[in-house]
Amino acid sequence: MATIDISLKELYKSLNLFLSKEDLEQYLLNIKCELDDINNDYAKIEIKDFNRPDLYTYTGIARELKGILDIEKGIPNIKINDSDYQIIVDRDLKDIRPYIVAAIVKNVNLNDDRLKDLIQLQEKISQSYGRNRQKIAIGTHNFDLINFPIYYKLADENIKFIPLGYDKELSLKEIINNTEVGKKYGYIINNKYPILIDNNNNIISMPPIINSNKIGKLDNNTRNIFIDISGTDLEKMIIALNIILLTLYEWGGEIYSVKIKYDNKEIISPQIKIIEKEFDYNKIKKHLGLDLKDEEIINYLLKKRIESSINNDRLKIRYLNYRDDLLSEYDIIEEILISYGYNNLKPKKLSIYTKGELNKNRKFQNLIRKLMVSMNCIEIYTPILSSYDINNILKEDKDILEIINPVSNNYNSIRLSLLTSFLQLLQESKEIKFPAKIFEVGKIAYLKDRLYQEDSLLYIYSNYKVSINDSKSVLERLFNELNIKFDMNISNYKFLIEGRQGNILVNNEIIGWIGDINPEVLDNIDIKYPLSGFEINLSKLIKYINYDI
Amino acid sequence: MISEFEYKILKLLNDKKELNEISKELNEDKYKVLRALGFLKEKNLIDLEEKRIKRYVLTELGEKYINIKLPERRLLDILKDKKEISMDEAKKLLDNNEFSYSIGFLRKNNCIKIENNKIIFIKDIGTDDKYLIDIKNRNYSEEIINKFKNRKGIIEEKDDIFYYAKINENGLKEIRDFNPENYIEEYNKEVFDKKLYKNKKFRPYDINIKVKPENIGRYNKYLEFLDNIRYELISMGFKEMDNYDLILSHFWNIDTLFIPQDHPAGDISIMDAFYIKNINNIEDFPKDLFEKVKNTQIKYFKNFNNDIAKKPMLISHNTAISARTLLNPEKPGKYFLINKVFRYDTIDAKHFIEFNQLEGIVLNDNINFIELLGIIGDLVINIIKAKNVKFYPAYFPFTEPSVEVYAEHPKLGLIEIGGAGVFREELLRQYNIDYPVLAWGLGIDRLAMLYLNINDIRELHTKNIKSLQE
Repeated sequence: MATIDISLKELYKSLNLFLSKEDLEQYLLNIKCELDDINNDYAKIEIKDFNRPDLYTYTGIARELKGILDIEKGIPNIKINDSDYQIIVDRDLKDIRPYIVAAIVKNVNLNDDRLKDLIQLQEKISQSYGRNRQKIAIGTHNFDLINFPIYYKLADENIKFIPLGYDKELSLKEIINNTEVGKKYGYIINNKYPILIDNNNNIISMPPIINSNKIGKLDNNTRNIFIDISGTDLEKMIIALNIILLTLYEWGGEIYSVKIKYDNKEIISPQIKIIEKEFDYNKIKKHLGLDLKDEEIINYLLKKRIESSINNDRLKIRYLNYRDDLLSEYDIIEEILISYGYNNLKPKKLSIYTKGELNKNRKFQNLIRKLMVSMNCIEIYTPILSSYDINNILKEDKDILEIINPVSNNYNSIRLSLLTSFLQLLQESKEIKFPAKIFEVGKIAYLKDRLYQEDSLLYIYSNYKVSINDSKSVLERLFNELNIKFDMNISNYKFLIEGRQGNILVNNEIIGWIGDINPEVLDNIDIKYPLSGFEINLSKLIKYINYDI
Repeated sequence: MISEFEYKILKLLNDKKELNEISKELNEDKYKVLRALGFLKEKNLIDLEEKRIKRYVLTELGEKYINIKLPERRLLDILKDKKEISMDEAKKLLDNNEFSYSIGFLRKNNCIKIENNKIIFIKDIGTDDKYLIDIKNRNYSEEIINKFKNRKGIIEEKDDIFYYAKINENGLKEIRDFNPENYIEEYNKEVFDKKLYKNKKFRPYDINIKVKPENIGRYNKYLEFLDNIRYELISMGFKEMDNYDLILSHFWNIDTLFIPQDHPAGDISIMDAFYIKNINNIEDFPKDLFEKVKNTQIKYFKNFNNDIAKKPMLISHNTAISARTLLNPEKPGKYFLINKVFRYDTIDAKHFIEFNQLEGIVLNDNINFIELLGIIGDLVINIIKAKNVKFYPAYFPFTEPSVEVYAEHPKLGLIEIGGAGVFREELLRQYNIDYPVLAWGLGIDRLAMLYLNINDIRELHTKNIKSLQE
């Protein structure tokens, strides 16, 4: 989720209205934003909808609030002037970063807050919407220092310029290898070196990595700006440019278009225009759940900056292309409902009759848990993620499922036995009262030819002295109550004492182990209690239940 | 009627005896003897006197002075050696109380003089250190006590209580009549076989005797909390989903839910997931569904990578299981699930990497968002016991419209408890579903913490076995 800092002064100036903190908070919630913090004249705001990059600036938030507050409705204003400025795109870029869109904005009024807002807007758009500059990379430059036409082409790795924030020239290769942004984004261009260079052979920038220190630096006094967006997703790039232009237009900027010449075509940028779409009006009314008149629906959409008309069961909408998230009737329904106000809706009781029920596994687990508790056992609940080292003690012929990105060594693998979790718990907190009868029902997973994910039951008995009888008596009672017959055969698990262990079998299938835990194993992890117990695979056992649970 | 123990005591009490003496003679704990004396007095078989005797003992400080010596002694020792020290230096060596007393004492005895803010040594005298040991050994006269009585914090008064017991007339009679043969000691089968109960009385118990509480079996409290919510949902007609898995493909967790594969993690918490090292791919989906999801992704997000889709990961939200339920759902249908999900996060009192999530879906023709708000309202009132629910627009990739749910909790105030929405048509089309599916997910761990009265989320999992046993 993107979080942005905005100047409240600028926001209220734009709204021409002051809002109390409480009101601001409420209105923001209604446009999918959350007020995280207010610090004097600045606010930290979380933008929850990541398909709405137009909200990554206070001007976008103001645009949305103006509609909700009836200050300004319908399609926002913007005007583009034609020009003859050109960008010439080299065909070599086709397979690397094929597209570029651009515009020129003159006579903008910047100040500290606006400059910060503009830089933040560029960063946030390219991060989230632009997939960390892969799809969209934005550059803003001082127009007055550029001599048109501009060339967008591949350059030799040894060509040098002073990158933004540096005081000496670096070669393109050095920028990729030695600068922080180069290391972070260099992979996108994969050993190719795209540059924007002007007619005087001054390098403007190396997209998507970095601007030049001279041309690519804006300050409060910059009045005329050249904006370029390079990338791989033309539709998103167009929208990103429109968002930035709407912001600069709000600050008094006059927008001029640029001609972009590819080897086989010429396009005009920006492409800011009104999009028209048609939807099934009956479907909208059916799923809206509100009985609204046509005029009301049209007005609610106007508040969301969308114009609409209704004709022959079709709802035709018109909106400016600074957003691209209106895909289906349901998107329109949401716009209407938000405009109407979620908290003005009267929730309706659901009147579908259905029979409620636990699933079969849960019922079986609950039966097992009930039996264990009735035998005076204490139920524990432990994390499924466990220490690899403890898993390793118990792995036998299984492979441990390891986590690629663990948070800590205590939780770097998935337990392959509930005993892993129990030993980990006992190792961390050594406190136990004798006699102790402990059990857990839970999930385990491991590899053995293939992936196994199972429900398991662990029983552990601990006392000053223990024997297999202490566990077997519980096992006998459990199977008696379940009405399942079991057999035993001799096993040879390393984590159990030799000669004091066995497999538990049902219908000749091994479904678990029983035995006294090997003191050497316990001593190694600093556990000094005699332990005896059993573990049963409930996912296998449930097959042998031949009655309704 | 008296017990054998009481009889033994009575027999000793022809002369007046003190508690310590009786306990020594019987070789029994003092508290047991005292309790028996209490019973005997209640039965009016003995006379019992209580005497309080004042005595003096050393305080903690007094004990300490045995080791480090009294402050005036310490000061004098230093002066003997250095002949003079500044007042400031002396103040550093002793604390305030000690300082003023020591100076006063030494001046009164002409051991020191003070000039120009300096303490100057004149002569040594004996101090009272040796008496501290005497007090400790209870070997003291009033004179010794007087030496310390006026000083702060070295000795204190304490009461010693002595109990003197002597048998009375009733007691003597009781001894004469006492015959253990007249009582039944053990309540056993013989009592019936020989009909002993007809002629004899049972030896009375000391009903105040301390015994260990019986061991108990117990459900885990947190799981019990989850079970209770499950039963609430069943009573509302919800069926528990049954396709839960710990390890799922990226396909189920992300792709099938209309989330672009290349979405940067960090934007959506469900993408802060754990991935599995040892398996490269997992094919836990029907092939035709896979093709449909692939087509949806390519249509709307322009790319789809089969390898990413098959990457195994720990389930990061139960909506993945709701999606599985869409494969073969009942209509009308109401489903729920409470199970574990896993998210990459820091581990502290407020965050843990495993938690339980309450998830639900409702399927039917002609149901809508407003009914979804109705369901949420019911859940919040039944499960969270909230007074009031508030709804705000939200964004989830897989629902439209989407809503964030806040509840007015009686203790916590207005809290965000989850999200809900109508599954996107683009998502449902992958499952050939052409009617609305309402979906919601609520966080329950904060409520569990409240229910269990804990402040650290890590304690939802067992941290200490002993505390469960007691």
